[in-house]
Amino acid sequence: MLQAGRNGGNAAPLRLGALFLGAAILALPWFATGYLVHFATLLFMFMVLAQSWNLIGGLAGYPSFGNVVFFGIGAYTTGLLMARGGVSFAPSLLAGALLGTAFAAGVGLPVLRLHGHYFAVATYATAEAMREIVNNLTGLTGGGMGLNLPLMAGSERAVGVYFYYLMLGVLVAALAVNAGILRTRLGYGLLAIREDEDAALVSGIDATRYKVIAFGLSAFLAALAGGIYAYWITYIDPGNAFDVSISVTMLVMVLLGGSGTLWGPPVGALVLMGLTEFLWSRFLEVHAALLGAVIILVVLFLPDGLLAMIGQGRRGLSPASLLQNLRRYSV
Amino acid sequence: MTKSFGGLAALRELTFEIRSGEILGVIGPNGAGKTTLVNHISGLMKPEAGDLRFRGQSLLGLGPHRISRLGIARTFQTARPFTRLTVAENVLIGALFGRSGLTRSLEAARARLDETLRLLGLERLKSTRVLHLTMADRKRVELARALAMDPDLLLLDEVMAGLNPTEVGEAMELVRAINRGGMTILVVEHVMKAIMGLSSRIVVLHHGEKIADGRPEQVTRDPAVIQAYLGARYAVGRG
Amino acid sequence: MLFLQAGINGILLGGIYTCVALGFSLVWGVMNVINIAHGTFVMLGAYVTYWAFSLLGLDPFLSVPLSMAVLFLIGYLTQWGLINRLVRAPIFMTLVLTFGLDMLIVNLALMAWKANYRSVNPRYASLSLSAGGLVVPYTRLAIFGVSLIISLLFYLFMTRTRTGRAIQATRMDLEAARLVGVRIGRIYGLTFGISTAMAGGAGALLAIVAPVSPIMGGAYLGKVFLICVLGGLGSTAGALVGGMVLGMFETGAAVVFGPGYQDAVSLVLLLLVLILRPSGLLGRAYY
Repeated sequence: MLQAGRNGGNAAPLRLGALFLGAAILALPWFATGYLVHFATLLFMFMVLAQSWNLIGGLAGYPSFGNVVFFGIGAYTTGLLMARGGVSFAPSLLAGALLGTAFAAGVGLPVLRLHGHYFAVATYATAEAMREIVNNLTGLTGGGMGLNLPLMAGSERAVGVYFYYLMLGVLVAALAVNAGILRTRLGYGLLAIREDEDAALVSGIDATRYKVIAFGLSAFLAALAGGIYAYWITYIDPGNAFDVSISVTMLVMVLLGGSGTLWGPPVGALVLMGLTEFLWSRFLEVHAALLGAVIILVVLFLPDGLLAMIGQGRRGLSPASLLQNLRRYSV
Repeated sequence: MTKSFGGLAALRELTFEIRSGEILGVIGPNGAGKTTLVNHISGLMKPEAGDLRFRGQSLLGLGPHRISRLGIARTFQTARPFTRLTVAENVLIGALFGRSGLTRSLEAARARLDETLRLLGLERLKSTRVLHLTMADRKRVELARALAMDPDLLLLDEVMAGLNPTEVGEAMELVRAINRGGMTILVVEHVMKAIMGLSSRIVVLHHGEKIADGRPEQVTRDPAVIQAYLGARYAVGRG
Repeated sequence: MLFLQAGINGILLGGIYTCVALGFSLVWGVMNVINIAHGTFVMLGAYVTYWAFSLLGLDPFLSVPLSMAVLFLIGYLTQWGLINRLVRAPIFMTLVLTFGLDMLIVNLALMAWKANYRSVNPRYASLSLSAGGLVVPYTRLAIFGVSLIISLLFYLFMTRTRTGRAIQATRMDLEAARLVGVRIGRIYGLTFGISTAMAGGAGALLAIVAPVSPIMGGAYLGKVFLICVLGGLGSTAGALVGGMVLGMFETGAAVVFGPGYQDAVSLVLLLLVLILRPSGLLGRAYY
């Protein structure tokens, strides 16, 4: 009943295509270069992040501009436990994810009482404040000099493949969580909150509880991604673990693909990362500026996201419809 | 109970009751505090003094969602269904979160959804997104959502506003049908025909106070009421 | 004594903050747009002053009106071309738009001017007023004075001119203003232009006392938001007080915790204010 993007339906060729794609993804490490495996892993990570943002921003309608704080908490918790505490990966990762979730629940209670702009800036400020704090606590975290994690045993190739599958696994879990929610009470409740919170309240929805749950789940996934990132890249610092552009990238990916849908975030992530990669290799210098321009274009011309546009078929892709999008929100 | 907004007291020393199974009309000139009253009962606003009791249980301190689950549902003055969701999704939400909602399974909620759609004649539109609907249909969707919650008390806030005379007649019939099923209804209205035709009792508010309370024929002849609506001149020599 | 010096420095700094905040809150209040790129416009204003100084030898105080004019134009065009398209869109879309804009401008600046810090050093920069152990450079006093003048002009424009009042009317009730014949598109253009002009003016003043680089505007979002939340949207006096309070908090924090914590202070303060303010002041009005 709820929009789940353009899923396969019952058309046999589509099913076959999906199966082939799935097989290709699973088999990728065997026939791809190390670079491609790395890129794919990064792509999966951003898909996870986009999916996590979708829970609070797309479904509940609370535009968080600071979700990177959970990523960073996951990264640093995992990093510190492994580097300073000698703890092995799995428990460190779990600890990072749980700490991120706890943080979301704690900060969420006051912050989720805010709406719109206030919420956006409060989350942004939280992430930035955390970055500054981590940066200043040099004794504990290594501050601006960063933290080095122990290297995983094994060849570079083998390690790369390990993280590929790990990140893929988390992605599948993130998709499952999203898909699961969309069919349950929680999903309907969040959508109602997004549409009209007061009307949702008088319809019997415990908005506070649901918002915190969405926020917590979002944090869990983001922190998980962060913890894996830390061990994968083996070096984190406040700049890369709490980078504000990661927050916005997640958001733009969801916007690009289609907010509130199941497949929107991964599609958006794929397109944006593909674009970034293309720009980077061709236009090293202007890359970041072009990314800014791309963001502007996306938000102006594709307010509903790519999936919606594709869903309208040829009509959706025409210049006329793009222009119409441009005018939609004008004064 | 008393509530002040930045210096203006919107409701003052208001005491009234609504009896089970009746249709209570609430009227009064603009700004009298009718919608504020509905907001208080549904929990979106809190009184500064006084108490609100529903079936002996105090509603003070309960959030709107808890109040809904006790069996109170409401509509809004400017209808507020969930616009980007479909009609079915809107009503399903009422069925899922209303009084019996939390103990219902999804299938049972779907059954309630279908029942309610039928009652309000919305089956045809069930997969349409609300943003494509007319105002009258949106009001029906909002009403359906409220009904799907299985309330014992229904608060209708100016549900007739913006409807043409035919639609008003239909709406009145609907309200009567719902009331015949045992529902207690509080109707805030400006449309006199509807209020006079539906209410067994009317409460008149003016500047946040109750100035009359009684049967429709009595209330419309009450000089205080006439004065409130039309000014002192018209009150003299009547009733 | 150290605190007194810090306090004075803070108040003087606050003048600049006030100008920045006035511009930011204008756009927020009138157009309901939070301009993430606002700090970047401050940066552009600083660069106008820098280039005017190093290429033309123009005294920085004299280039304040120049920066303001240039930034007004940039702002007006930006609004007309971009912001205008999304004024009625959901909030997070305008946030993303201004974020993208910010990213674009900052990186173009980085490409054009590189990341090295520039400074504007007029000959009188080192002259200062000393009294009782306190040192106040004349430039800082002058900057404070000019920022007060700019703020006053802003206030007068908003309340005494016809255009200013049209802007206020638009802010209070868009539909009513439209009905009365106010041309909303033009008003929005002017509003945004004034906002960026204020940012430009602040940037020009900032260039005199702080190093200029493409990334200098980054910290301002948190700061202006705090000032707006503290001082109230649409209140010039509020922005003034808020600016000075923030200035003092920052310099005070630098003394107590160390210079690295200066920016963190405004962020933590912001969070505290947002969290502790009674929800009645922040939530949407019901009816």
